[in-house]
Amino acid sequence: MSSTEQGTSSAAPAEPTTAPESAAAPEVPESFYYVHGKDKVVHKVSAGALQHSALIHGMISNLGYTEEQAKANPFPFENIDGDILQMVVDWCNQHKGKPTPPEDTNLPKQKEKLFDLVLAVNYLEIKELLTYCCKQVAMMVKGKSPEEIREIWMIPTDAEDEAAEKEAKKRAGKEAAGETAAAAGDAK
Amino acid sequence: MSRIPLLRLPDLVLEEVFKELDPFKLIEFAKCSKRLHPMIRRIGKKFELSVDLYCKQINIYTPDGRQWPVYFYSLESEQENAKFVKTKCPTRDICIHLFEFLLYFGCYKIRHFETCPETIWNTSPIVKLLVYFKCTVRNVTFRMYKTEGDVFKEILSSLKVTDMLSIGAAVEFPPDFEFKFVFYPKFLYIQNSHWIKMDQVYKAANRCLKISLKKSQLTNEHLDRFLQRWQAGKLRKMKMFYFTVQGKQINKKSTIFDMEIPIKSEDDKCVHKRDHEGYQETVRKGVVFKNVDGQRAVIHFDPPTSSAFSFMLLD
Repeated sequence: MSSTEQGTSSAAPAEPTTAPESAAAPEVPESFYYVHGKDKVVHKVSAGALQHSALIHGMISNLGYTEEQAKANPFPFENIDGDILQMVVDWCNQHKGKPTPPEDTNLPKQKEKLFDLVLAVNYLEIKELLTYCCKQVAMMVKGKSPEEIREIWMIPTDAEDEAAEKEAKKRAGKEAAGETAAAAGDAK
Repeated sequence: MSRIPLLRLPDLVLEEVFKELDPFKLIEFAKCSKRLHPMIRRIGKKFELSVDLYCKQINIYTPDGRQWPVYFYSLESEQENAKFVKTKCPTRDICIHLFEFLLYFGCYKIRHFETCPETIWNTSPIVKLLVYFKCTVRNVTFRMYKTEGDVFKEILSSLKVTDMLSIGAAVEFPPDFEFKFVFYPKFLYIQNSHWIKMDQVYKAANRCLKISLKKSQLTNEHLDRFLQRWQAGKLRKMKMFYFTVQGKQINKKSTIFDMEIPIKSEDDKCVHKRDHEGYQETVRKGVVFKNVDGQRAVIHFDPPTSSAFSFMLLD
């Protein structure tokens, strides 16, 4: 098991005797959690970064893991490819504790991965990243003709849809007929 | 070229993607595949439209407050967030585009519908579309020169106008034209109003905020009877009504409300203002009266300086 670890902040707060009004609040050591995707590569991510994901945030709130328990039980996301999860973790880290800008330049540039990224982000419930991704998907068809749009977004024509539907009905009919024949054979 | 199997995205995600697209792109998508229609309607039903046959333009208003005009001109042009349709027959193409917008977006709110100063035959197909798609129209302005009585009746009875119906001076009605309104908008302005009888005014008084009639056939006697009924508290349903009427038979030859004409205040600075539902109305140099219920109204009639008789409820 490999892991990508982010730096931790472990400064122990000194207990102030008389706290001046302007003094900063004592720093609480940051807690870390662990996630892995389909490739089983474990990513160590701070709770602050994971707050972007409503799904993981909910899991953390409900489980109440200690750091040791969290390390021993990484959250498994078997439906997400390792490289996609890496992108998501990177984005969460880059936007940890920061207000998300209206336009995000840190989005992955590989359009090929965009579909999987959208599905992952939707599953993990990262609202801001989902909005950015959807914008990217929409941008793909800017200035394109309907035919190009159909090609880019892999939208079948109505004729293709109808043909596929007919084919599916035919197949279902054949299967039903086969089952009836088999049932009749069994009865004999 | 990078490709994405868009239709395999979950519905809510797909909706987010589609929300990023402008209305013109959505129409292109609607033509791409029937499978996209429910999603496009989900987004498009929040749109509002306006149709202007005079300026040869349709506007699409999206929920983010943006406006997307479609121009129907004989010349080609370019403008950001606008579409230009080069056409020699604008009314036909406006009809086709309006049909597509109503069909694919499923929207039904029309902010404004303005006719062109041509024949009623240009207006009729648009009205038929609006009625077929059960649209409500906030404001309508009719300004065509040539009207056919029966066609116009059909239009007035079928079009559901909510806020303002304005029938311009250019719209001439046949002398025998008769029509009773089915839908009363908040504001009714009719320039050639010889066909509006007093029974219609009483009905409008219960439903409209304001009616303005010009070239009316109503007389001093009609107005007198109206005011006497109000004075006796017989028009209790009437709320915030403003009635202004002008016609040859409304003159200073006889009294109105037992008063010699003019009915006006001698104080030049006398102004009565009313603010209701965001609409402001003003009567200058009017005289205030109270009815048996204590309801106040301001009346002004000062021909020939001001040929219109005005009656505005203040409470």
